Amino acid sequence: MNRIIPIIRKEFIHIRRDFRTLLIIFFMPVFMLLMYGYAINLEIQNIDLAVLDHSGSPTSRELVAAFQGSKFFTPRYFSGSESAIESLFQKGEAKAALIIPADFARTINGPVPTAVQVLIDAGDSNTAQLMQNYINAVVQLYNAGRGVTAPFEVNTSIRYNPTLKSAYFFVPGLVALILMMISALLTSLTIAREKETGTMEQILVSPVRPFEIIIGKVVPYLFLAFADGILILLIAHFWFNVPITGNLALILFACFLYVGVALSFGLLISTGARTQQVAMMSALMGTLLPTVMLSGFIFPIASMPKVLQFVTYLVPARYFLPVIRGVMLKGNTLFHLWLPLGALVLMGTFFLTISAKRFKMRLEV
Amino acid sequence: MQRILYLLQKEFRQVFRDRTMVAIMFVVPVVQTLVLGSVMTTDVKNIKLLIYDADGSAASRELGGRFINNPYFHFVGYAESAADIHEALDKWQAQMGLFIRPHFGRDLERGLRPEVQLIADGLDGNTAGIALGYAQGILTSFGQNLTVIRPTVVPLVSETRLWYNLNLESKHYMVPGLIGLLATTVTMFLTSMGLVREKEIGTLEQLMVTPIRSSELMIGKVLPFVLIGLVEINVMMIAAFLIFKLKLAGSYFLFLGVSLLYFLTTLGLGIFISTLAETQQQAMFIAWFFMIFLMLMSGFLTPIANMPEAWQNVTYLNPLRYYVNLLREIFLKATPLQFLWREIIPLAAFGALILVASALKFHKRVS
Repeated sequence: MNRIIPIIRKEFIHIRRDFRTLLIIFFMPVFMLLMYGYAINLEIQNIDLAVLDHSGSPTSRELVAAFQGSKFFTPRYFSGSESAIESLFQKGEAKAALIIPADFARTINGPVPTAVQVLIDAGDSNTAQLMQNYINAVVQLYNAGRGVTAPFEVNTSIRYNPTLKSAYFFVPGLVALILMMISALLTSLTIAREKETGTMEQILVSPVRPFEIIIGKVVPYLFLAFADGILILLIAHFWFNVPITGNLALILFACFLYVGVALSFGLLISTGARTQQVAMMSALMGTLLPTVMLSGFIFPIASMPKVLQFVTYLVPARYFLPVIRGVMLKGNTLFHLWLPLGALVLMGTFFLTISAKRFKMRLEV
Repeated sequence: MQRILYLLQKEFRQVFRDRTMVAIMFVVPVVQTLVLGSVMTTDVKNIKLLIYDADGSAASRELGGRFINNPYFHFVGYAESAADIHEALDKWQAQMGLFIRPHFGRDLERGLRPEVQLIADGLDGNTAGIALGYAQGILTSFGQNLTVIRPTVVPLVSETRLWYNLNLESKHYMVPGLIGLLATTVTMFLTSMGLVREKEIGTLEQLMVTPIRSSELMIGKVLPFVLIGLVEINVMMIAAFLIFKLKLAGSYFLFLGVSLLYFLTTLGLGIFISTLAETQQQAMFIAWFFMIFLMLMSGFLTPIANMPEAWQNVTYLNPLRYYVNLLREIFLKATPLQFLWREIIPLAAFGALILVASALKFHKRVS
C-alpha cells in the first residue's frame, strides 16, 4: 500500500505537467457533446420532392398541397418526362419524385383505387425508409380528408420520451462513448510511454510489485475520467434538458464502475503494446467503433445479424447504456439493473487481472 | 532526391518492423468493413411486442395474429392487464404494447369505431417512430380488409419505387463513407504521430544535423502514408466487393483521383498537428479532436439535411463532407465527372490551402 501512493503521486505529477493534454481532456468531451447533440438527428424535414403533374388539374394540385402542408416535404413542380428525374437525383436537386398520371382527376372518384407513383433516391436507405413512412402518412391524411376512414380508431401513447426527441436517446449514450474513449486512451498510453522512453527499466528495478504498479496507474485516471463524467452529465441535464428521473447516486455509481472498466481495458492494451503508436491505434480501434456500433448506441442490437449480437456481449458499453438510459429516463432502480451492473464488475476484474498477469510476464522476460 | 529515398526506406522499415502495426493497418479495416457494414443499418427489426387482448373475439385474435406474424415484430407474449404492458416497458422486456379493449369485435360489427391502443417505448425516438409506422401499416391493411363497412370513397394508394438501392441495403450507403473515415484515420493520425515521435524520443535532432532539408524531411515522412493510404482504400474497395457485393459503379481512376485530393487535407492536418504537439499523446488527442469534427460534420452517420441551419453551414468547411459525397456518388450512382465539380473544387482548394499552410508552419518550426 505504501508503495502504491508514490506511484499515484508520480502519475499525478505527469498529468499536471502536461497541461495541453489536461486541457484537451476537459475541453474535448464538452465539444463532442455539443457537436453530437446537435449533429445527430435522424428525423428529416424539408425533403425536396420533384412533382411531375401530368394531370395539371385542381384535384392534382390538392394532392400536392397535402405534401406541401406537411413539414416533411418541399414540393417543386417540374415539367418533362420521367427520364429527367434521374438527372435530378444525380444533381441532388430532388430526393423523391411524385408522378401524377394524366387521368388522375377522373379516376380518383372512380370505383377502383387510383395510384400515384413515387420515386425515391434510396442511396441512403434509412432516409429512404423514413421518406416512405412520411409519404404513406401524407397519403393517409389525404384519404382521411376525402372521407376514407378506418373502421376503428388508433390511440398511440409514447412513454418516456413522448416527443421522440433524438437528444434524449443520444445524450446518455454519448456519456458512455466519451467516458470509454477518454479513459481507454489515457491509460493505454501510460505503460507504452514508459517502455518507449526507456523509464520502464527504472520501474522494473524498483521493489514495487506488478499489481501495485497497475493500481497506481489506474487510480489517478479514475478520478480524472470520473470528473469528466460529472461534467458531461451536468451538460446533458442543464444544456440538453435530459431529465434525471431515477436515483442520481445510482448513476454516479454506475459511471464510476464503467470508468473503472474502461481504464482497465486501456491498461490491458498498454501492457501488450510496445510503442505509443500501437497502443493508440489499438485503443482507438478497440473503443471507438465497437462502442459506437456494437453497443446499441445508435443501432439497435435486436436488428443486427445473430453473430454480431453475440459479439455485443463483449462490449462494456452494452451494459452501461441500459443502466444510464434506464435510470435517467425510465427511473429504473437497482432492482432492474443488477444484471448489467454485475457484468461490468466482472469485466473490470477480468481486465485488471489479465493486465497484472501480462505485466508480470514482461517483468520476468 | 537520393536523401528522400533513404528517408523513405527508413520510414517503411520502421512501419513494417512492428507486426502489430501492420496488422492494425491492414487487417483491421477489413474486419471493420465486415462488422460495420452489417451493423450500420437503421432498419428496425425484431421489435419486442406484448399484446393484451382484453376482448378475445375472432376479430381481436385476427388483429393480434397479424402483428405476431409480421416479420418486423418479435412477439414476446400476452399480457394479463394493461399494467403488465407498462411494467414490461419499464423492465426492457418489451418495446411496444398492443392493447385491444373489451368488446372490440362487437363494436366493430356495429360500426362503433372501437379504439385500439398502441403503447410504445419512446426512448429511442428513431426506432419508436419506425415501429409505429409499421404498426400503422398493419392496422390500415387490417381495416381495409374488413368487410363490415364498405367504403363509399376508394382510397388513393402510392406505388413506391426505390432507385439505386433496391433492397434498402444501408451497408451500400455506409461502406463508401467508411472508406473515407478509415482513410482519414490512417493518414492523419499516423502522419502526426510519426513526426512527433521523432521529437519525443529525441531523434529529430539527429535528423536535423544531417544535411537533409526540412522540405525533404517532410516529404519523406509523409509519402509513406500516402502510399499506405492508397493501398488501404484499395483493400477496402476489394473487401466491400467480396463481402457485400458492392461494386464500384463509377470510374476507378476518378475514385483514386479524389482520394489523392483528399489526402492533401489529411496529410496537411497531420503535419499541422505535429507542429502543435510535444508528445505523441498530445498529437493523438488533437488528431482525435479533428477527427470528431470531420466525422460528425460530414454526413457520414446522419444526413446533413437534418442538422440545424447553422451547423449545416459549418459542414461546408469540412473537406470530408466533399470526399464522402464524392465516394457515394462514384460508388453508388456512377455519377460522371461533369456533375462532380461542385464537390471536387472545394476539396482541392481546402487540401491545397491546408497542406501549404501546414508545410510553411512546419518549415518555420524546424528551422
